[in-house]
Amino acid sequence: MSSLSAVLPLPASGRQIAAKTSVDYRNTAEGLLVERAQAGDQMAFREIVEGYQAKVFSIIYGILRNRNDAEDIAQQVFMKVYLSLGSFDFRSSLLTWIYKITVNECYDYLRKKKVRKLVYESDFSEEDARWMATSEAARDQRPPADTALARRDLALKLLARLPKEERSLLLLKEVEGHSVEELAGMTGINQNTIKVKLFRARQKLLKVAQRMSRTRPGWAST
Amino acid sequence: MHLREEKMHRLVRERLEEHLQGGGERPLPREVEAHRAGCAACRQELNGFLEQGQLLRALRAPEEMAPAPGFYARVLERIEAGQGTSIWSALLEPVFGRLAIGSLAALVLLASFLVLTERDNAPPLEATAASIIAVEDHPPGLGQDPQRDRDTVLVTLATFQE
Repeated sequence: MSSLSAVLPLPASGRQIAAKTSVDYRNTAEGLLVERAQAGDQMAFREIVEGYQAKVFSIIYGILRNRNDAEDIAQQVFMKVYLSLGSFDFRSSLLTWIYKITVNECYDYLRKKKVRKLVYESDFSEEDARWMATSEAARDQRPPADTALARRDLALKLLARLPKEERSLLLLKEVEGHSVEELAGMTGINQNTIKVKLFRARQKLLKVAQRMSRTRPGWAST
Repeated sequence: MHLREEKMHRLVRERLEEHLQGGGERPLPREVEAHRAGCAACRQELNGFLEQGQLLRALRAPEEMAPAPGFYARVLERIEAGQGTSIWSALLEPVFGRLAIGSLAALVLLASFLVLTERDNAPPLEATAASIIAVEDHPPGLGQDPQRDRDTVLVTLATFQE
């Protein structure tokens, strides 16, 4: 491991940046672990990887539903964590920071694979349209597996329209099930601001869905 | 414009996240519920948010998953490979950087030299009568080379104009 640290020196420490922040996570066990990793301790980095690999893998799998892709992107996430650890400023929890990197990597992957082309209104399938029109009858007609796939696709397409921060917050709230209080603790943002950000994100998603259903007038009637 | 579009009233909005937390199963306080019952806009938007929450939860992994054993080693391999293959990082290395810049400068010098040399030695594209006359404006003395004298006379005749 020591030889590896010579080959792979960790980027510079983020202590100076942390001094500016109002919420400081440095004095937590996790913060101390990050500080060790920032100082070039490869065992600390290993602890971070092994502590979060299952979480990261699950987040990616939840979004992409493919084990091979999940493995590949998870590796990419931890590579980014390694390379950016020096700029981690302790303003949010490490989990929140890694979560953002993970979600962003998933969207980068989708964009590269051109899956995200489906995000654009013109590419919405009729199935998506039916779902968006919230027609119970239309949804019941489809087999369950197909419905689940269509819903995941639609969720991804809608989320792609949100700024990264709002997307991560909404996912942390709805997918990970964190409360506003927990989110405030994790992000260092006060609860009212979290509520406002979530409300705006939710409204944007509704508007996008409505706009999309309007651009295809035949959707609602089918 | 933005405010006009915000249909949901403050009373409901303040309790929104609590309500949505449990997928809408957590009851709203009595006054909020009363407002929702009487306000179509709030009701509609709240229903939209509830449905949206269900949609987003489709992205939840069915269970906690883990990568195959040896994941940390694969991450390290990737980091090493990523750092080893980056052209830019290699260029930024002091030794490689100087070598690359030196080679580039040598190439530029060589190319400039070749271009200039070629330009100086390049033959005229086409020998026109006018160009021959121009060259022969001050011909060497006649009578020294019979072949050259004949050419000069022929060119003079061919280009003669009254």
